[in-house]
Amino acid sequence: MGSISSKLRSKIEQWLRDEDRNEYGDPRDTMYAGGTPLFDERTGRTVDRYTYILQKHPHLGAGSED
Amino acid sequence: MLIRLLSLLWRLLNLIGFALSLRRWWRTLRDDQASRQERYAAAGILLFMTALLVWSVAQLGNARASLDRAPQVAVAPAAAASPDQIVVDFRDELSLAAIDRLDDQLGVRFEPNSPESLDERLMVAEVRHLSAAARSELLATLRRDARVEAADENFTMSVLGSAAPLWEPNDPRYKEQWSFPAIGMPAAWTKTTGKGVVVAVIDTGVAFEADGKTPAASDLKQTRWTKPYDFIRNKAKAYDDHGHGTHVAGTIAQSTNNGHGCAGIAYEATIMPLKVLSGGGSGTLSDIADAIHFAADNGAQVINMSLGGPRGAAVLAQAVRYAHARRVVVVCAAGNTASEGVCYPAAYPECIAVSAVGPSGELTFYSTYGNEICLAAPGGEYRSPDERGNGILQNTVFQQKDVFEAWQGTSMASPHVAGVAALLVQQGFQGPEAVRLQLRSTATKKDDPKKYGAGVLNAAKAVGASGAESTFVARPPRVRGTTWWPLLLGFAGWPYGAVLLLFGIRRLRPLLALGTTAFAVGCLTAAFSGVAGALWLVLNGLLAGALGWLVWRPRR
Repeated sequence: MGSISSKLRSKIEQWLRDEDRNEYGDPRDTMYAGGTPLFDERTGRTVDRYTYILQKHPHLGAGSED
Repeated sequence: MLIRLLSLLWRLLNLIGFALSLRRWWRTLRDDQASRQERYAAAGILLFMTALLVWSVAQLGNARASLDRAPQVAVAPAAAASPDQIVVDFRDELSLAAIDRLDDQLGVRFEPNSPESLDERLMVAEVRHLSAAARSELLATLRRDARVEAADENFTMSVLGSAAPLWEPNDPRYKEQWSFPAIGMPAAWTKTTGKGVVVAVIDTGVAFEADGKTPAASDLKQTRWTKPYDFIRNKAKAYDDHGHGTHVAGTIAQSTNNGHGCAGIAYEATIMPLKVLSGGGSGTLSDIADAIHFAADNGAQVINMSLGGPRGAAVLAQAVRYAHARRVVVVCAAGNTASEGVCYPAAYPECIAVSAVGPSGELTFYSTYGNEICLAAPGGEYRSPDERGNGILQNTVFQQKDVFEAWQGTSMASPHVAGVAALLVQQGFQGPEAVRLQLRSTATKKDDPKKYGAGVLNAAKAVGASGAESTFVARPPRVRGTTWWPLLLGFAGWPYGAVLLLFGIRRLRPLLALGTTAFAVGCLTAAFSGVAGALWLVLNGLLAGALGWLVWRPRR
């Protein structure tokens, strides 16, 4: 996934507010192993927050130039 | 050695100077030609010098006493070489006839360790006729037997501080578990192993049992467990379909000294596996709150939660308060956000929030930090696959395989603290605040409380073991308002005074005045900034030497 434009970021932030999601795009009462879904404790890999959201909710990226 | 010699020389020279100074003022006191003012001054100075000497000696005595306070009587296994005996603690109610039958069955003869141990059913058996493999097999059989509370090799014990090395478990991959010696586990194990303490692991489940194609974790076979529950499916099983919870449980209570895999910190503790996170590694606040209540109501004394989220909720806060009120120690991972802002539930004041340090003892690149951090613990740190040795190695199940993997995260740091908390509970520390206080007060101090809280976990100190302690390098403590500065001033002050008094203010020469003032400033600087004591000793030596030369130089 390439770089995410500021326009798409704004769209995602708006969607999070509209849908009452937490900052990772999940329901607000979601808890995670290690406290965040962005860091994989097994591999040590970190994923960008917007990338994570777009992976789980690809419809948000549909129609965007990214 | 050189420093000791210099120190001795310095004290000797100081004593000579002191004696000469006393002699000079004693003569003035008894000199009929001296004026009354001079004699009063001499009496006052003599009193002052005597008081200064007594005070300095007393301070030295205090310093020595504090050095001697470290426990010296702990015992530790001397060697991990194949022993000639095994020691078995049978259940107290087991009849002697049943033990006799076991003799025949196993081909060894169990004898009471001492007349007093007969009631306790603590027995030893000679096994020198068996091969190493047969001994391991025998021990494994005994440990599986429900009539046996504990079975182990009967090591020779010796007083710590002797040349004998500390005991290390025979688990072949223990040597890869750098974090255990780093927090002083070999010394801590000489005191306690967490026997009987129940630790709830609220996580993705724990692979104590096979689940379809997913095997049970091979290195949890001898680990005790109780009351599993899956809050997602609402059933009394807690299979791990992720691997996270099994890894975390391993750090706390991996089957240890079983000749297989890795070791665990409180390896005789009992794990209560509670599943709240799915195979994807996420779960809901409500399930976690339920699990906390369940743990507190079912005998858990410690809860580990290597989980969290960006927001808290009243139901979660209330659950944590409930457990705390039931005297349960709640340990939580701070989070892996690499930024400030401790996750929930770790951020609640009832929880012990744990940040992660790597092998260097410094905060890891991923660890969350903030004001709520209680202390730090090893969480592993690597950035490329060839550095995985710097991760935290434990047994787990992953993609339907039994594996040993090095992971990194505050999820790995938290069970280090939970394990040591279990050791403290076994030692009799009552309630979460007593455990928190002990963990914090014995942590290896670090400068930044937002990153490290009270410091880095030190298991050996926490349980009161001496010998090989934490290998994390502590920053040298700054000499500031401690036992040292009055000691320094006490010893530094009197030669300075002695020079003045030997020659009298009126006859004090400008160079001597400059020298003594520089010396006093140097001593004060050393006292308050923690400059190496060697420099201070050299200064003292020089001054004492100058003092001697001034006293003994040829008179014109």
